[in-house]
Amino acid sequence: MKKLQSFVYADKNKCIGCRACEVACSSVHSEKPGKTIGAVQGDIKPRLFFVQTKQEKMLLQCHHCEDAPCRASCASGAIQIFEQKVIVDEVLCTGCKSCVLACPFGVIEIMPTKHKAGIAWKCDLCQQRDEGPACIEVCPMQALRWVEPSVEAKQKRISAVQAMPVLSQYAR
Amino acid sequence: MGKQAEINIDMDLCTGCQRCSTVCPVGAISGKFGEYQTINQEKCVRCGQCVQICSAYASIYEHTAAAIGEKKKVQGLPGDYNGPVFAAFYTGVYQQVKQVLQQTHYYKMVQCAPAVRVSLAEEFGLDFGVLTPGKLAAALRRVGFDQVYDTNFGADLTIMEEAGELLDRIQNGGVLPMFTSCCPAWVRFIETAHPELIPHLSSCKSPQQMAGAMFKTYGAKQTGHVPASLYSVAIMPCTCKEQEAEREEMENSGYRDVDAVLTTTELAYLIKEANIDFTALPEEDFDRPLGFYSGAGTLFGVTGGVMEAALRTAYERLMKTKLPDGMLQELREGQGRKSIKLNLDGLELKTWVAAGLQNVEDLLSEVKKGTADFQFMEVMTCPEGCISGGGQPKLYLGNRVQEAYDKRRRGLYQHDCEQTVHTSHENPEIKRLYQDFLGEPLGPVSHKFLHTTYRQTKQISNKK
Repeated sequence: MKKLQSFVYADKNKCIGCRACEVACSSVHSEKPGKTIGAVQGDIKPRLFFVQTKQEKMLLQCHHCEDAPCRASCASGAIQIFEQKVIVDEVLCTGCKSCVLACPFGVIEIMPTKHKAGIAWKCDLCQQRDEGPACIEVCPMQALRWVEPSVEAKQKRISAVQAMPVLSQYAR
Repeated sequence: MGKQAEINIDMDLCTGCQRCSTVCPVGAISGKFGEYQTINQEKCVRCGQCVQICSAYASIYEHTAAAIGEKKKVQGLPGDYNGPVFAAFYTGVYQQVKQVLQQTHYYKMVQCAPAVRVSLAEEFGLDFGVLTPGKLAAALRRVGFDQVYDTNFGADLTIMEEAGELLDRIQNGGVLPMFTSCCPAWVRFIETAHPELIPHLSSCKSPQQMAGAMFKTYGAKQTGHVPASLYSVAIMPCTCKEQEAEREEMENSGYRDVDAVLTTTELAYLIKEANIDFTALPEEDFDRPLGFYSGAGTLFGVTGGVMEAALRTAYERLMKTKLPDGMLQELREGQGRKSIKLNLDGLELKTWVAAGLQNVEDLLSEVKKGTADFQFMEVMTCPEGCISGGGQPKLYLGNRVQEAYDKRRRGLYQHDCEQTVHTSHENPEIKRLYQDFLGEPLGPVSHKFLHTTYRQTKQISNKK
């Protein structure tokens, strides 16, 4: 079986809502070099989304779905799976918003760029960055983590097996 | 003057993550987790660490462009500022300085703190800690300053007075231990939270204020201007320095020592608004005489630096010989606080250096109980001294802050090595200033212009 696509997942019990991940996301995707607010400038345009309700805070971002609805909905073939990531081709994208409607998590926005009035704007798992996703790196609460679904599932099955002897008394 | 620089939190943008209250050294920030936080302005020492750490911002997904524009106005950001707007913010006198720079009837003098030359370039895309004193001087001329002087000169002057004051207190039974007084947030902390310790503060003004006082007296004479026509600006890595400049004590010459203070970040706005390509600027010198400095002066930008500069001078004065290399190395190592003991010609001197107000509380208790066994203490409010100040460039990736501090610190130590003079008392322009104008350290003229007084400010509750 092929390796399942990874994604970044936020633990809402750990998130304090500082939004440092969004700020970091925006800066590492900026074309301008520089590490300070004055150097980079421009609006903060994160590819992950802070959600705060009365009871909860959490960050949402692309799950890099295996059978990605955004990809299926894209009429111009701009959304493709590339190196195990759901990636938007900025040249092909027409900003038609079908993917915005198709995404079950609401984690695609349409954003203007230097060359286009609007393109699909979503998490690319910091594919251009050697250190991996900036959001994970910068989170002060370690609330964000890189999920390897196959590994996680395998790990869960091992835990489940370890719990089995207890159950077996009743199953005999 | 009615200016009152302040730190505030936008209740609309604050998410209540409370990271600001974890870095606030005086417990001035309160609010429920998940709800907007407020700052107790009487308790706040204006260190600006909350401004540095805050990452809750006005999101374009949640706010209209007009609403964000309104917030920019409230925060006093330049008209063409197109960067993010954060919940915790500092409002200073940027607009006022910009206006005065366009007026021709003022003769404008500027000084620049040591830590600014290792951080300003970051705002123009260069790496952390890149040392650019030459471009800094060039930029200040191009934004409209007539004389580009330096706070480092003021730092050398501070050492002359402060080392003298320490020896005087030791030899003549003055109040000991003596505390440094160059960090205005620390001074404000003593005035608000520990007013009974005010006599321990050195009576020396900070380098900024000493330099300012000299601009409007000695400097006015040197350049042939009347003090009333001078406008004196200081560029600082600090969000508390404007408030220091506004103190009513700070005008012994009959004029404000310093008329306005800009932060490093605000200077970057000014350079950008003037369409100056910072990285392409030539390397220029600061103007003499009040812009010439020793390596010791430049160390003021880092924790332990004031102590190192003071001990260099005290050692050479008392021992009548050069300080051996590496003797003060301990002052450059470790974090939080450190102690060093020296024997200077029979004088046993024990000193403390602390960065971060949380690192001094127990020492202050010892002083209050009378059990303190040290004579001199340097305190800076920010975690690594002025290089980590609240007015310094703010990072996009907050977790890289230690890397930024390390590189800025290295830049300042490198700058010390580059100087031709390494001790304040050997700065030829300092010698000339005493010869031509001040007389001697702690003398009557010095006392009039370079020393100050402190007062208890509104008693605050002890509850943290």
